[in-house]
This record gives sequence, C-alpha cells and structure tokens, in this order.
Amino acid sequence: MSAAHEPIEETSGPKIVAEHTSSAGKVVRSVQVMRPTAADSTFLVASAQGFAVTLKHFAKNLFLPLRKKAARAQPGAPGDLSWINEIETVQYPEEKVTYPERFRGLHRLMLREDGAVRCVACMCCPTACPAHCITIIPEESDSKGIEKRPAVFEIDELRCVVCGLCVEACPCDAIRMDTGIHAGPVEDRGDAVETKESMMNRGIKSIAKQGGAGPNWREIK
Amino acid sequence: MRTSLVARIAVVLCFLVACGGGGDPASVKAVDCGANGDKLPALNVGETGFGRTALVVHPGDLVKVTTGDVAVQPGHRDADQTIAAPALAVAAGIKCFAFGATGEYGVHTASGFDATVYVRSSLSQTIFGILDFAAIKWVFLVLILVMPLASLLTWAERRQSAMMQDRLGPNRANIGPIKLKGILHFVADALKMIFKEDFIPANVHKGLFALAPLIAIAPVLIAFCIIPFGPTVYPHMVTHVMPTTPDAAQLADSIRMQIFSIDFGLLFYFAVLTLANYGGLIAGWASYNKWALLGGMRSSSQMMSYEVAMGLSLVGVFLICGTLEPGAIVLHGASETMSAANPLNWLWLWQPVGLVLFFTAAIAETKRAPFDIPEGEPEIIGYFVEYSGMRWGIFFLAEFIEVVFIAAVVTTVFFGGWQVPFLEPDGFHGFGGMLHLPHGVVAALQFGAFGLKVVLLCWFQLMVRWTLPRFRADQLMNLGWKVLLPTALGWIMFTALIKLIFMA
Repeated sequence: MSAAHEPIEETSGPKIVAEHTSSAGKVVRSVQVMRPTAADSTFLVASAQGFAVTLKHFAKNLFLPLRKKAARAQPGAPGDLSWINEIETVQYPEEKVTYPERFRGLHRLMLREDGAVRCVACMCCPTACPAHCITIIPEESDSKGIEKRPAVFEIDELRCVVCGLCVEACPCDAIRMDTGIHAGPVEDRGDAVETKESMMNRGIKSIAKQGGAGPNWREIK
Repeated sequence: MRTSLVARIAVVLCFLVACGGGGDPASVKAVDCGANGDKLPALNVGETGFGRTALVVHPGDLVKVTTGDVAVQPGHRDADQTIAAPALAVAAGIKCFAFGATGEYGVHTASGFDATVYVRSSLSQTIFGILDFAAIKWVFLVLILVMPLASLLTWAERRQSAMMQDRLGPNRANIGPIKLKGILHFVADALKMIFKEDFIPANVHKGLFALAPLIAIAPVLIAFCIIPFGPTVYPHMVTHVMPTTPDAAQLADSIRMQIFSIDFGLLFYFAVLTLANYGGLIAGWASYNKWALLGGMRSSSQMMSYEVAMGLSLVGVFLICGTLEPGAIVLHGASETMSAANPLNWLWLWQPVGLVLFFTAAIAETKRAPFDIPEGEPEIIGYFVEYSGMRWGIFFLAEFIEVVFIAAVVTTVFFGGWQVPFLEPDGFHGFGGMLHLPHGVVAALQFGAFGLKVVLLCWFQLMVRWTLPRFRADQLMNLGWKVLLPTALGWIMFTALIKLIFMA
C-alpha cells in the first residue's frame, strides 16, 4: 500500500518528528511533510486499481441479467445473487416497491356505523400538528351523546409533514394515514387541500370504541 | 489549351524521378509537346476499357489525350518517387490523377522521366473522382460517421456511468414501442437543446459570445482531415483478389479514405486543435462574468500546459516512423521488415510510454474528468456558465467530437489505424496459411476495424472519466510540468538512442 492509503492523521498535516528548544529559547519543531511518493505522483497504480473496480461493476452489470423484478423491489430478497448483476434501479411506473406496513400516506376520515364522520371536532389533531395544516370548524352534532362534529375538516397536504402526530393524537380513531396513497400532483395550490368529503370518501367504518380504548385499540375486534 | 468537341480533354503533366531502372527510353514514345503543342497519337480504347502508351515527359511538357481522362502510373514505387504535383498541374490548366496511396507529391527537376499513360472512360473517372473529392469525404466522415458517434456518446456516457455505478441510466426515450435501450435519448436531448431559450445575458459581447462555440467546435471538425479512416479503395478491384503486384489499370481509380494526406499531418492536428482553446477563453471573456472568465483562464492554462507534453510524447513516434503523416504511419508501423498488419508492428508495443503520455495529455486536452477543472460541471463554475440552449450544446458536442478524435488519433498512431491483424491486401496471412479475400471484403473489414478501435477507445475514455476523481489545480500542473514533460523528454532521448544503436 502506498502512502495515500495510510491513516488519515498521518496525511492530514505535518507530522512532528522532533522538538527541542534552541539556544535562543525558541521551540524548534522538526516536521515530516507527507509528500506523495514517486509512484503515487504518476497516479498509475492508483488509477489501475480504480479501473479494476469500475470495470468489474461495468462488466457484471453489462453481461449478467437483471435481478427479477419482484426480488429487486424488495430489500433482502432471497435467492442466489451471484449470477445476477448489481443494478438496484426500480423501474418505477412498471414496478413498485412494497411499502412497509406503517407507511404514512394520504389522510382519511373514518366513518361510524351510520356513515357519519367519527370525528367529534375535539381539536386534538390541529393542536398536535406541528405544521398547522389541519383546519377544523366545529358545529353542533345531531347525534345523540355526541356534542360536536366538524363542519369543515381540511388538511393542506402541501404543508403536511407526514409526521402522523394527528393520528396519534386522535382519541376516536377518526383520522388515519394508512391509505398507502401518495399526495398526488396538483396544478393549483388549492387543489392540494384535502376536504372533509374527499377524506371521508377514502374512509371505512371503524369499529373502534368511540372515545378511545387504550393503546391497543387497533387490535380490538 | 484547346478543348475537344466530343469529349473532355484532360491533360496530365507528370514528373517522375528517374531513380534506377526506368523504362527503356527506346520503347517509349517521347513527346516534347510543351513548346510547340505536338499531339500524342490518339488512343482509341472505347468507353470503358483501358488503353496504354508510354512516353517520356519532361518538366513543362504538355501531354494531351482526347478520348478521356488520363492517369499516370509511376514505373516504380520507391520511397522517393513522386507523382506530379496537382497544384502545379491545376495551375497549368491540367487535371492530374494520382494513383495509389502514397500521397507524396513534389516537384522534381531531373531531366528525364518515364511514365505509362492510361486512358480510360471519363464516366467512371468522374464518379470515382467525385467520391475521392475532399469535401465529399469530409461530409461522409464527419457528418455521417463522427457526428452521430459523438451524439451517441452523450447517451453512452450516461448509460456507461450508470452501469459502473450499479444503476440503469437513461433507458426510456422511445418512438412508440421502440426503446432500443434508450438510445434515442440523444435525439431527445438535441430537440430539447434546440427548443430551449437561447438566453444572452446583458452586457455580454454579443459577437464574441456567439462566435465562441463555433471557435470551439470548428477546429475539431477540421482536424479530422488528417485521419486515415480506411484503406485506399480501388473500385475496379472490389470483387477481385488484389494481386501482389497490381496492374496499373486495376488501380486506375482510387478513393483514398483520408481527406488530406499532408506531410505535416500530426503537426496540423496540434496546430489546429490549439485553436479550440480560443473557444473556451473567448467564451469566458465574452460572458461578462468573473467566474466564466476564471474558467476560461483555467482552460487556457491547462491546454497550454498539456499541449507541450502532448506534442513531445509523439516525437518518439516520429523518430521511429520517420514521418508525421498518419496514413504513412498506418502503412509502415514500427518496422519495415514486418507487415504493417502485424499487431506487433503497431506502435503501442514500441512506444508504450509515448502512448500513456499522449493519452493522458489528450484527455486533458478534451477538458473532461479527471482534468475538468476548466468547467467542473457540478461544483466550480466553468467558462460556459452563461451559455444555454444549443450554444451550450455546441460546447458539449465539441467535447464529445474531441473524444472521438482523440480515439481516432490514438488508433491511427498506436493501434495500426485501419489495419486488421494479419489482413494483407489479398487476404489473411498467418499460421502457415492464407485466406484470399476480394478487395471489397478486405476494405470493408479494415474500415470496420477502424470503427471498432475508435469505439473501444471512446469507451476507455468514458471509463477514465467515470473512474478517476478530478485533479486539483496544483496536482494538474504538477502532473503536466513535472511528470509528463520530463518523461516525454526522457522518452525522446531513449527512443533516439535506441534508434541510433539498432536502427541506424
């Protein structure tokens, strides 16, 4: 190995090899300056090593077949990887990676048995929201035993930071982010605001106990 | 000079050095028609055939043949034998056609010359003469071969870099279902650049700003004139096996696959490509931008530093070959006793240091990584920072054409040019046997071999560009002045010494 591959601290600055005090009382330090060797200054050896690496990758990726689509889309795919190339690219529109279970997509508003919105406009989610992207205007609710409901429930997806705190804050299982849908492209900023209706369209009936049932509410059947 | 009513009159003025064993003067018809306009006896050979007569001509003689165009074949092909100087012939109102690939013209003043005059149909001469015309060859080479190759390199570079980095690269440009691995990206790129806004900032020098891209690209296109991109093609022999000593009639027409065969060929390349330097400098200066100006300065300082080493690295080649003419280097190689088609005779074996030096300096001349401090695409601002649209595209294209050109020069000088290993004019020789091939097949193979070598060297330049990190400015200057230059000088001394001892 040449000097260029030695530990960083040796090449990062002059190395003090001796230190003594001169007759004038000054401290004299002898330093060893790391200069490239003659072999290194031609760059030939290092270049050849570099070519070996890139050529290996190039040849492997050129001549060996692509990993199967499904296998390429999932990290840690099983199978013998020695005969395929190392290209990791996912051809997006045709292939999609499988998202993890807890992926946070577009919001949705859950529904009650009668199809009404579960949200009781308790204002927990806009309070928790760090981006202040949730707007709720409450109104009187007709349902028995429920005080309020949202007249307006809007989330500005352009401001949303997809942190999921609104879901965590909700005591009613009224808002979820488990749709797996990306926020779509819009031509107007106003189009990026999700309304109560659009989020309810994605909603399903929740059987969670109104008012919350502890940390394991998702598993209650 | 009188004109004939029935056919074109072509007159050949030939000067031929009488260098040992010329024709028997008694057997030729000596015509001294320069002063009094005597006519040579008419040769009647029909429209397509070849007729011949022999005569001795003297400097200043006019030989006039009325049935068609005339070609002159020297009696011998010794090294110092020359064919009439076309410039002189043209000046005298005479058309002259030179045979063969020697391409050595000169005016000689020896008293007597012998030559054989062949007369042939003017029709075939016209077609092949047009094909042999420099502008036609330039269009063929530069516009049909080099420009598409350079354009494809823009795609190839991104695909290849992707392959080296475990990516796929651009593979989606398509015409309907035709994807071709994204090869059409270069068309899409060109369309994009043509339709982009051609923005000219305030306060730029508009004239020079517009001129700079042209200055950058023109020298590269001109420099291709010296590259022999194929063997000399003899149209009459395309379907026949070339004999060892071809008859002059068989070689009556020739298309030389080299635009200019000039004695100072490689010097021409150095001289012309230096002009491209002004493109970068003027672009930086005319842009009214300090950073562009600094980029232009870096560009010119780098070009100047590396041109010294680049020129000197080829001096060993000149010493060995005794010529600067690329066509002659391809034909002769390092040794005159070995066949030029033998890969061991190519100069990569005899000038390995020259090869490395030249290739390094040439890559520095293209201003691509690892020598891309003049532009430094992602980080430092280069001399064409103010350019957009197709003006910028021309700089980009010039860079890639230069890549092709460097590959062509290295192929020509160090890797036997268009020579196919062991392929002689009449077929493959070697391993104790031989395989006869018609001249057309041989020429096609040799033409393809040149293309293949150029493509491989382009590939290698892309490898270099995507493997090595960029040099710092001080490393660049150190490498140029303290490593390449002394090594080149030492290699010249070494080569000269070897030549003095073993080849003198």
